[in-house]
Amino acid sequence: MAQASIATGPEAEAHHGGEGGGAARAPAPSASGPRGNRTLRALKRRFSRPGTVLGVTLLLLLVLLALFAPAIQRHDPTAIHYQALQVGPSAEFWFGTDDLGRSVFARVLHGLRTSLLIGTASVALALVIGVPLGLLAGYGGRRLDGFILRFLEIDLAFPSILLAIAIVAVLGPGTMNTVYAIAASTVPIYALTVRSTTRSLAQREYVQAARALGASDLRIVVRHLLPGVVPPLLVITTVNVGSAVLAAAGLGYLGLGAQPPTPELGTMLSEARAYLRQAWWMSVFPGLTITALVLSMNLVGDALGDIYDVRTTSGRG
Amino acid sequence: MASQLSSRAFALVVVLLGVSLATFLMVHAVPGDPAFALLGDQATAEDIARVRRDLGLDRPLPEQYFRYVTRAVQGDLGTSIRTGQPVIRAIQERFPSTIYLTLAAIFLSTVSGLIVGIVAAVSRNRFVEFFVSVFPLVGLSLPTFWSGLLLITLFGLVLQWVPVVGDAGLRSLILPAIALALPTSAVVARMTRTTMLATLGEEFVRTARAKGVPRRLVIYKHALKAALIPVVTVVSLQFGALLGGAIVVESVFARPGLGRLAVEAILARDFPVVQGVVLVSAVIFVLVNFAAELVYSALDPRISKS
Repeated sequence: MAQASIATGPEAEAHHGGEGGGAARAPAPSASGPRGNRTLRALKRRFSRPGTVLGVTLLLLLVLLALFAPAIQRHDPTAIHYQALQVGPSAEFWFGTDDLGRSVFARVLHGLRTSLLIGTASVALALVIGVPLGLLAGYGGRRLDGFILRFLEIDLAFPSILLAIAIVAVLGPGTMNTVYAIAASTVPIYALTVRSTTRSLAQREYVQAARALGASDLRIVVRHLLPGVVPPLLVITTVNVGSAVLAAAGLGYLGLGAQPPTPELGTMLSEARAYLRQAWWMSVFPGLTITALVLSMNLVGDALGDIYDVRTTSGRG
Repeated sequence: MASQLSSRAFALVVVLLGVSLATFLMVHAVPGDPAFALLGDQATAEDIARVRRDLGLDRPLPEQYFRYVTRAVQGDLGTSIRTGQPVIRAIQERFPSTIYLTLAAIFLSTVSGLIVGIVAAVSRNRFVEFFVSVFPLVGLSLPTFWSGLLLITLFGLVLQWVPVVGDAGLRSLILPAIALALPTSAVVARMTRTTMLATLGEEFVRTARAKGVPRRLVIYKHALKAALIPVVTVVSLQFGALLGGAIVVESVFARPGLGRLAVEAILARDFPVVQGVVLVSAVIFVLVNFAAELVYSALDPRISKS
């Protein structure tokens, strides 16, 4: 059941220490008071580690490359250069060209854009569906909880790539359909995390106090429960953007993801498969880029997990 | 325990029914008439009418679903539009290849994950420690379809140790199994390290050390034993990931398994086959998780209470 088992430590719950009224403070490092200091100190400690520095730097670099791809590229990613078919890396083509004479560098940059777009959009969609489901399940009483849990169990019964494949089979391949497919297979991760955090927060004194003072259910959920859900969500969201990028590239590799002419890293790898010996650059650069992107998300997610004391044990395949 | 079991079994039945309903509705979720979707653009009106009658699409939905489930239970998953072959036959043909790959990957990832995790927890050598702490993160971030290509390049093309494509017995199983096992191996390694470190700090381990039990014995007998339960859990939960991952890896190595079958079927819009593969894989996954739950509630009596 617990595909994404989440342990919220005392730190995560301490974000709600005591105050019954305005606990809706985002757990940002800038928060003042003793608890803000603790987060700040954890942040400083974390930043002295090479892994965190590497992760943050890599992620920033890749996001900037994706954002400014049109300004950085020297060639259009779909432009065909007949005089330069499958040439190795050079000053003109930094990552070489593919079998159609297209610049691998430009295609990697734009593939990065596609990956980041699908990764963030699918996670955003899954959050929009998963968070309310989790709050309802965690705070809405036994019957509703049981009903939502069954629903999530059925969703989890499908290995996630397989569910994505089934959805693509119905909707057809394409960028947006990849987003829907990945979102559908990740909703339970968020819903279950929010559910377990909500359940433990709902037992706490400040929530009981708010209820005794006559706060409405809506107010309790929005002002008192939702903010406490943010730290664990932040951690799994970061890691899951990485997993979504992997899943999207996997669908792309199978020919079921974003369709040509959209440059897509997984599709590039499957095109490169026939030329492993002749043109190593066609597979190495897209592969390195996906790995670097996912690695940076995992490193940042790890650091966030340490700061907020949230452990994620496993994602969903 | 008995009531626990029966309530879990009831939940299992509910989930299986939900899974069958979801796969049943898959074909009906295709925009337009399912018969039209099944036959494609070239179908004549009579063809469509015939298929509608044959598939019972003119009956009410609940009746269709009932028929679908009773047939599926008897092993009848319909016939492939592309080949006219019964879907269950196509699945039976491709199934062994996928299940061998999945089992090989489970074996590899458990063994390597345990070794890396233990070394990471007990090693005092800085270089070893660095390597084993980086390995899980890289393993989790490597796409299987790229590590697969790298393995093909190195061992298949450059060194020519193993055949690179197809399914030719055990030798051609090695590379795909390694590619598929890497991410799970990383998950197992992290889990093992965390639980080993936690157990090594516990009272009973300290007591054993204080009594003069050698460090090695404490690590392998006491700490490892306690760390194994969460590892069993993680491995069983990873089964679905591996089954799904096998689809991609099969494509990389051109292995004729279930995944290839599904992908070919999607590209040919052969819906009964897609439906069959999805249903069979989900049912297997649910049953494996159920079995794993029984195993570890037997291993650890604390679990059955929660």
